[in-house]
Amino acid sequence: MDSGLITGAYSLRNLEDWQSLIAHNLANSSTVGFQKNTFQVNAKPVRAMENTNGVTQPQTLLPVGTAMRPQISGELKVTQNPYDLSIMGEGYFSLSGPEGQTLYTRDGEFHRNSEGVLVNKTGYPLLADGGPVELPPEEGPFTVARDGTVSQNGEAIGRISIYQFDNPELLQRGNGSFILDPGNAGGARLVENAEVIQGQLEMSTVSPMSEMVSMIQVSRAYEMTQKLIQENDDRLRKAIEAFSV
Amino acid sequence: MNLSLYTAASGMEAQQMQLNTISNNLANANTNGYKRAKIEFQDMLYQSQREAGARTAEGNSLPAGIELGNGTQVVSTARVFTQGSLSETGEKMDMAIDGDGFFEVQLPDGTSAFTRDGALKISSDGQITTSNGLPVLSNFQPFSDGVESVTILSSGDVTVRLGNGGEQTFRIQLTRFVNAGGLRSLGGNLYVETAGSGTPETGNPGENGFGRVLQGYLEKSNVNVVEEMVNMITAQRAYEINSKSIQASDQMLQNVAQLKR
Repeated sequence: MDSGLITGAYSLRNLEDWQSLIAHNLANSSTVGFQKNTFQVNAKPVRAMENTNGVTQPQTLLPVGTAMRPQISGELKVTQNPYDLSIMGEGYFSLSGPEGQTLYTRDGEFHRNSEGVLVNKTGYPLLADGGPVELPPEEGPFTVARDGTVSQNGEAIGRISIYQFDNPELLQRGNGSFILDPGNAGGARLVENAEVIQGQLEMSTVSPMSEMVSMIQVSRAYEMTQKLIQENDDRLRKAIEAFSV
Repeated sequence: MNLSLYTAASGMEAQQMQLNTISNNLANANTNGYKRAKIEFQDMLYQSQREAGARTAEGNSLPAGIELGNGTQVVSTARVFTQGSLSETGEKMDMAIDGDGFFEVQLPDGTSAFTRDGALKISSDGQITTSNGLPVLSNFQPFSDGVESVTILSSGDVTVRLGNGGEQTFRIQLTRFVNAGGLRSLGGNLYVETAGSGTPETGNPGENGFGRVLQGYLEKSNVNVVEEMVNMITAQRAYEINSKSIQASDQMLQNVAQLKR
């Protein structure tokens, strides 16, 4: 079979994945703490064609896409809401998940739940020094110092734990802006000199402009590949016509 | 392929909800005691086509996989209970709470609701009510006839001087919640308790973290109009680019349909 057809089909499939990824980025252009995905296409040699009668056949390369999440910081938006926190530089907040697992996120929109515990918007407690942050209402407003220390009424309650990963590529994405690190494959370690800012939110790292440019690229590549497949099809049809009796 | 269509649709839906929230905030920019709502998003479910760390045929492990997301979701429209600015009215029954706390209001069905709108009124029978005529509890005593002057201290102590030389004194109390953002809005500046807000706790104004009561002032809404306008621009643009990704996906599907002549 003509390998051009297969390469073409593979390429279309890859471009569709890319388009899905762009759509996901754009859909999350307003999601706080969202880190955009980037798509990289590599050529993967399927099999070196054999050298027949002294002629080396061209090797077939199939495009293989990979999604990546560069660790860049989003723009900071001043909200002046004391429950909004953002991390300066690299690192992630740690939350205690529903099944006891630790969830990591850069989404710094927090709330106080009915028990007075600082939780994220889905109700998972923020971890400081390994435990939740309790803020009793009678103690008045709370402040978060730049080193992440939460204090209320002049008394330090705990320091917000910020984690960084040695192998970020081995982390899993969970539903809801969370990063999971099953079996500590990502190598989570506490960041010693982390900086947390209160009253600011880190916005999504998605840049609509570069996503639009990528989208144009995808659309045009898709069109070209479609033409390529049609050409191949045409050639095959002509060959069948020419050699059929 | 269709994944990107639905992903973009989820983005448009989320932006539509953001616009609804912004519109409501702007519409209430001049509502006394109104607390702005804030919409919060999260990304949605990932489909892993190739897991990072998976073994390849050559014996290596993949450095990165393909994870395709399903778009965005609205998680909450929480109220932000920051202090609104105070404006002086000079009206004796206008009260603003500076700090934490709510007035308790009795609903027609006998249950309690809570408000920070302190534009109170005196009904014909001496009862203290909201602008809508709902009786205000918060330890308010009905006024006797012939009120000459009313003085309310920031500690909540009320002294009513009567025309016949008599005096009536009582202390009002405020109610607060651990998580005021978890209250359910009833409309009419009223909120009711939910499981998420915690149970109401009453206390004296100015003590134990409760706010002070200021007579002759009203608390304006905490809506920042400039911020809402900027949010509106971002919401509108985000809506637009999401529609572009639907168009692009559509175009790609059209190309697929043209593959076979």
